[in-house]
Amino acid sequence: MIVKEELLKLIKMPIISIVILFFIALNIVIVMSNSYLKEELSVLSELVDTYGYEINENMMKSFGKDYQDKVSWINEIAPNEKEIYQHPSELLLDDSFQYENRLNHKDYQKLLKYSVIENYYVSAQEIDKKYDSIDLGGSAEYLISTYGFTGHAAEVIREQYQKLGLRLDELIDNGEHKNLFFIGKLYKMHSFLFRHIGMALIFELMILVVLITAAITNYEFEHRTTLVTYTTKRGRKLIIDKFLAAMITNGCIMFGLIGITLGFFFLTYDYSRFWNVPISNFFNTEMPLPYISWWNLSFIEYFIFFVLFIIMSQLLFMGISFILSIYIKNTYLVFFTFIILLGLGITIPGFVPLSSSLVFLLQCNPFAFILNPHEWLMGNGPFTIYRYYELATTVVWTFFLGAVGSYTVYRFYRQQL
Amino acid sequence: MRVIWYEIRKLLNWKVLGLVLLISLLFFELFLRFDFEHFPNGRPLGDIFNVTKQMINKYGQEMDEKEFQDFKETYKEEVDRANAYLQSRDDFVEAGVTTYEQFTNMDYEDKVANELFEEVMFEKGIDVFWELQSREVIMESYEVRKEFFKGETAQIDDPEWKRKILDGSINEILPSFVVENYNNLITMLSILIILSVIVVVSRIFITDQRNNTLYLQYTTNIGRKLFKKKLIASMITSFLITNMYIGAFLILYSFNGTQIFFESSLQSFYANTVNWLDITFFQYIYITIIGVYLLAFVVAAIATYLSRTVSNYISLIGVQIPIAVVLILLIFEYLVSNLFNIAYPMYITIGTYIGLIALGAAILTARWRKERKIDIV
Repeated sequence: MIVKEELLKLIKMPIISIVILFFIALNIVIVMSNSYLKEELSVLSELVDTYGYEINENMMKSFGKDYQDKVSWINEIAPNEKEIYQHPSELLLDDSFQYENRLNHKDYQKLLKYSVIENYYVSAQEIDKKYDSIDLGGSAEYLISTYGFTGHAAEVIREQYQKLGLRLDELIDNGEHKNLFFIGKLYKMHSFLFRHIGMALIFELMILVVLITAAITNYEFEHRTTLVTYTTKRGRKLIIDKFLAAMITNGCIMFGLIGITLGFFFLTYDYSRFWNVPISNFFNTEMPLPYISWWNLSFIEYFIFFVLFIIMSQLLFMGISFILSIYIKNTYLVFFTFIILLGLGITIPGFVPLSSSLVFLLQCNPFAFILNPHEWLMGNGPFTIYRYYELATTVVWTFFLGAVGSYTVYRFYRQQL
Repeated sequence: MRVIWYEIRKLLNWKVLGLVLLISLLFFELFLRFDFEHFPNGRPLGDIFNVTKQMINKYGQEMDEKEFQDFKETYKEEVDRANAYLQSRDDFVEAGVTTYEQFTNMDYEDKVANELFEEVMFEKGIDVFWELQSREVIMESYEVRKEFFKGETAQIDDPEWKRKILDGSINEILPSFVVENYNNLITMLSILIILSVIVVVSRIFITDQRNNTLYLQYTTNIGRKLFKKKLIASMITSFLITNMYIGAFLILYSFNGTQIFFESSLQSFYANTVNWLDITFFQYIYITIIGVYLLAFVVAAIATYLSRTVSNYISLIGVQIPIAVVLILLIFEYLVSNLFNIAYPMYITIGTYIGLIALGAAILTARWRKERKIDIV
């Protein structure tokens, strides 16, 4: 059980748990930073409880009927009797109402709630119009001119947007867009969860994974036990045990940090009714163009893929730092070399002229991969527009690092220490 | 002295310098280049920038009510120029647009009008129209300045400063985006500096400790006084690093061409925020740079302390990650960016600086006391 001994070496480093605790605290602060939205978000849960999340004619009928009741309540309580209000927000925006607020607290809260419901009701009616007016060709041209793509790269963007157009038609046929979800333009819950929290998780895990992998791989060199351990019968094969130990520790840490952070997220924000809502629904839209996933994924499926990609990217980082450690043999230098690689992975694609399709190829590296986690599996990012970008990047790099890693280990077996 | 010099050389060996240089270049590329290259960023900011420079040449750093009338006159002259341009163009005359007023009131839903507008503003980019737009922006912020700043003074204690704002005698010329651009740059630069200081200075004790040379060193004549020498070496190193970055930064920043605004008070009529102090832009630059030096020294002190107390590299990096994260967050909030903005009480800013310096001094003194009698075996 040499792996166990190696694990013990890691467990005996108190610093790892200190850093993990710090990151957990940090993540809780990040998750809580949106908690002021909780009340408004819960309005949607009530709506879904009464009408279901699917938007169809029957649902809109009963939703509309109830909405009319609400509007008549508004007109009842309105202080200005001459006016007739069509929507709760009109009363809220009415100056005379604002200045001489004669409502009691309970009614005022009710009014606020109705104005939130209004948002959903009014936008739900506009879905068809919005999706009819989506002009992907125009979006492609806009993208090309804002980023300055030319030549072959511009062609690629146009081509991909055509494919995205097919997917958009399919999405509309499936009715994926007609589902209730938190209004993205107001609350930005998609980018909050998948971008801000996702990025925080990815970078925190990256720091931990690189440190742990480097520390255990270099352990013998840094504790001057190389000459003892690597001359035993097990000898250089110890490096495999070290790899396994790093793998197990990193796995536990990923499980812990992701589990605690996201568990806390879902305890704070109630998503329980939305697990099966398609991720490409209209309400999720944050930018002018709605999120269009390449596949018909529900929220929970998208979420599972998101976690999976985080884990995949961390495994790639682990591979990279394992290889670096064998060559450099110093945790301090490995850590900063890794940071330089990270910087290079992000900047190098920016140096390629935006006319060649090399731009897209260079984006297929694990460092550029983690920059837009909220656009994973979506046809929204200009550089990651390919349908199989995520899959190709992770699989190709796994094989590539596997090959380089095995060669490095092979070399390490025969190396002078 | 010689020992200190050796220690500095050990810290700044070529491997580490190469590492730091590479990190700095990548950092520059990712976070700093944009604010150097794209300043002022597009139109009409570029036009506002030019107009305000002209204003300073004409009126000095301040524009009082009288000069404002003159400014309005210039605006009218520009409008005449725009009118002349519109009348010289057949397509505009055809569309019935012959004055600047008509031009601004064009119906942009109308296709012909929209095309004409796009052509003048974007395709051809006729300067006079952009300039007029900038002048309007400036005039508007000058006219509403009294109302705008009134609400912000409630928190200010200094009576003289408060009165000055309430009087409405805020006539200084300094576009807010110039200060914002400087703020972005100095914030990112200070992060780069503290990271570099951590990378370089953290090695001061740990390399010797890991080589077991510390035992040898502590039995020499200098002995435990080496702690002080190493401390001085790390302070000098962090000073050198900060100097280098600040120097490079100032050279690059001088190409942004904002020197003409240096004598303007930060509290211009075009400002978005209110400051606790009545200082000029140049003084503001001074204060932020002093802040950056203080932070670099504090970070160096903490790194030196940790380098002596921590026994391996992973702990050394691990311990400093929370410290760096917290410092970076504070830098973004109030330690460097928006220094002395009224968004945070002034005593919090000063208190944090004093607290950090006290912390650095305290841990080092405590360690020195311990160092004198500690058993090294």
